[in-house]
Amino acid sequence: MTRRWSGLAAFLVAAPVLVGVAYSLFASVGLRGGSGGFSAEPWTAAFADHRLVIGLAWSLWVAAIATAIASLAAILVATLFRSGTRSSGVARFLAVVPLPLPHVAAGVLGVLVLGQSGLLARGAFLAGWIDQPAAMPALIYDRWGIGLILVLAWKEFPFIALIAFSLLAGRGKSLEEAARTLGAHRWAIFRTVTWPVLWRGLAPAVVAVFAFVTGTYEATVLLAPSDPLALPLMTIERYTDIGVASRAEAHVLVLMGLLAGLGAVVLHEAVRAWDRPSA
Amino acid sequence: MISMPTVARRGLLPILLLSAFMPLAILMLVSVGRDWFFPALLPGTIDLTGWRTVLGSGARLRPALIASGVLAVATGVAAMVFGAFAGSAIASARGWRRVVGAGAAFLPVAAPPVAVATGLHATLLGAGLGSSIVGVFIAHLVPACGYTTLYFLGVFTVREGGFEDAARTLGAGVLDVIRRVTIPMMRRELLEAVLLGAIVSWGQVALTLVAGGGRVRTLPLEVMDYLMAGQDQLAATGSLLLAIPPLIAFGVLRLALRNVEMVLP
Amino acid sequence: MTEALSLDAIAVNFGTMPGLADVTLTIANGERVVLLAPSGAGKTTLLRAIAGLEPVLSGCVSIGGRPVTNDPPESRGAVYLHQTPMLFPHLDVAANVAFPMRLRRVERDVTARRVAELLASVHMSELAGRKPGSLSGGQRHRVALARAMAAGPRMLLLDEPLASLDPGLRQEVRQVLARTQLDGTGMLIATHDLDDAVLLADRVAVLLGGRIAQVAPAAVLFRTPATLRVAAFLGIPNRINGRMERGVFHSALGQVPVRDTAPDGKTAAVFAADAVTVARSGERATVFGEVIEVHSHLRHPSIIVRCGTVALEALAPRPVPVPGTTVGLVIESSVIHLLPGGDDA
Repeated sequence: MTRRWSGLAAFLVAAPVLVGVAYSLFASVGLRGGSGGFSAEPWTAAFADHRLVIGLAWSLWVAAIATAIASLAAILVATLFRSGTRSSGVARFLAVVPLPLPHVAAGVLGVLVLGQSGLLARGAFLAGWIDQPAAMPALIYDRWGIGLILVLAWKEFPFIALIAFSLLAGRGKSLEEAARTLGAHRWAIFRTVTWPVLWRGLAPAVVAVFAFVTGTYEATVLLAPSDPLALPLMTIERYTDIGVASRAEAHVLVLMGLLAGLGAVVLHEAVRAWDRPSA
Repeated sequence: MISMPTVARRGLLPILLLSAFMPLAILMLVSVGRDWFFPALLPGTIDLTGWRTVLGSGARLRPALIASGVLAVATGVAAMVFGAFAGSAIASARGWRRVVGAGAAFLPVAAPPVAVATGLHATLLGAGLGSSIVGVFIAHLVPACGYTTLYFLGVFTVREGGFEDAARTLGAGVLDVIRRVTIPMMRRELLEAVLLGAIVSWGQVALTLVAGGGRVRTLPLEVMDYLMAGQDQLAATGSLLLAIPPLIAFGVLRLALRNVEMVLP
Repeated sequence: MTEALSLDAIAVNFGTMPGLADVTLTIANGERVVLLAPSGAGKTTLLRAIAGLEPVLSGCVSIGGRPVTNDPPESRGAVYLHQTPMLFPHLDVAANVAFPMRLRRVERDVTARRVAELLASVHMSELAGRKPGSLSGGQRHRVALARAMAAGPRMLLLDEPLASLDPGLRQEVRQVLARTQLDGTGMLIATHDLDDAVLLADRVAVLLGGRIAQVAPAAVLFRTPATLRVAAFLGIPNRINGRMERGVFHSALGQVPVRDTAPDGKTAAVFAADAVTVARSGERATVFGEVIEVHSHLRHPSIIVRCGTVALEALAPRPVPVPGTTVGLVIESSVIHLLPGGDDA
């Protein structure tokens, strides 16, 4: 019945993205936006600009660390609080509360808490570690992106934790019980049962979070430094620039960002294929 | 002897508690606090000037709030309708068609909004919709429809299609089945999809900025402006306005207990 | 008077793979036919194809004398009942039964009267205001049946109606099905359960290997199965390969006298366990053998006797012989059914 429409549905939902990517492809080589014909100029100019390469690397760095922190925290919480323990329901609820919080609000919180005159700094002052705001190490607008990493990790943690809880409550639980009745100790259970279940189940989510964080704008614009400039910020900056050449470079950056995300997915698939024989 | 995991659990619970409720508490405190300077841990005075400024008539937040609300409702409803049809269509497909369909629905969810927006903007300009709220609505629809399609894909995959079959052989035509069986049975899911689409639209920044050309002002954009201008109190107030509806909607949806396959960063 | 259902050389796929081919069957008004087949043989696919929920590759489906092969499900006049009753959860029992009539815009008072009638006929009148979720399995089946009748169908297609029920409930629902008034309607019940075939059917259609292997009343079916495969499926234990020569059946059992006739050549003989009895003293045995198994816990105790290379199942005499005893067996020649061609049939 509705089977026939699945092709049309798939097309409609994906078309805007595909059209957008196609447009970016054309525009990045000068075939759109009135820049007068094919030219590899935007690409060469973009890569000649050190700031771009550094900015891209910076975004990837922030995404990797934030994703890693969120994932590890999620695994820790889900493993310790999996269903059956007394506080598991409470822990799960608490872990998930920040999930619907908009990224802009998270960014605002980052400034309020991690800023040099923020709550953390005031706590440090109370503890006697600093005597004025300027003495507080910069956690936001800083070269390493510490504040941004922390905020993003905190925002993405609920999503991964939710999946981890669900994985452990489902198949994972029965596998663990089977292992326990066979006499396995806690650490052995974790190593041979819990970890593989989590790893396989979370991998897609972790990859998705990584790709998302690489390109996310809202928290980045509020917490990231202007040098190095993060990828999404660079993209918007060039896109809203008046010069036509900048527009084309913006599209180069868009494609770079998409490639990074695609690369993560490909890497995930490659690791999964390599891992499959032991499944 | 208390085991190590129990100790760890006892240590982690307070941290989780803080992580869940401190942020809202901080925002609330900042929004009503005045004369709150370094190094004070609590504000000097508590009053509602911040709220009055933000919500009072003539405040520039009002039109942004309304714009956000209208966009959210419109996006939610439109995305729900699209997602219901698309999701059920893909759910009834088998084999490679189904994989392609699911991947297609995942595309607008996974693609960074900046990327989607830049490509979309040119099309909108061409259609004369650049820098208009209609253009922003269309831009918001892109990820929202992806989310709702994935949601309904999950719903229809798990659901038994037997009810529709039974209704058909009892004499109901295709439209009758939708009207008398599918929709009444799925009232809750339809509402959840509207809320999902609305939440996606409500928090959008990059799409609004690019597709709206900076001219369409929504609540998150105003909050960002407040913060970047150093107006912390107004930013916190705006953040609460921004954060509370999704939190309530989330509570209503009880998404935490449902279909985890949904992607909701 | 036109038939309720007529299938002419129907071919249906299982998904993308070939499934049923050349299915031909007619069902008369008021007739109950059981479609008997092992699990996975395609009963559901066939029923759904008749209902219009699956496409038919070739052949013709006629319901009430009208060809409906290209018609959508809602206009065929055949109601398909799923194994688990699909009662609409958002409607109560009465509204569920009224559903087909509301679709056809029947007036409210006419509908109400008919609903009351139908509910009474399945003994569900007191539960008219209940929601389906609060009903038991047997009650749900009854409501589903009443709802199906409310659509005034020419054909009722029941897919394994007793499969998900406990034995006690099975009896209850079986009775409901057996007693339903079928004026102008035919009933096709798909099942793999032999008891259903015996207790419910006017005729039984055996579906094996993607085709209708035999259509006959149950008694005829069990006495004279059309092929060895049908006999095996029906659980007829004694199936002997051999040859016919001038009216005598030759096999590993030696020469066995038969009443049934078959042309000379390769032949198989099938007969039930109750055709074989242990010879009493003075009786002439057809064949001798050693008892290897005793099944004394069954309703009709039986013994398995090895006669050379063949194992025969026979009725156990009193007292039941122990394994190892040599016995003489008498095979009732009038009950032996011959299948020309043997296992090529």
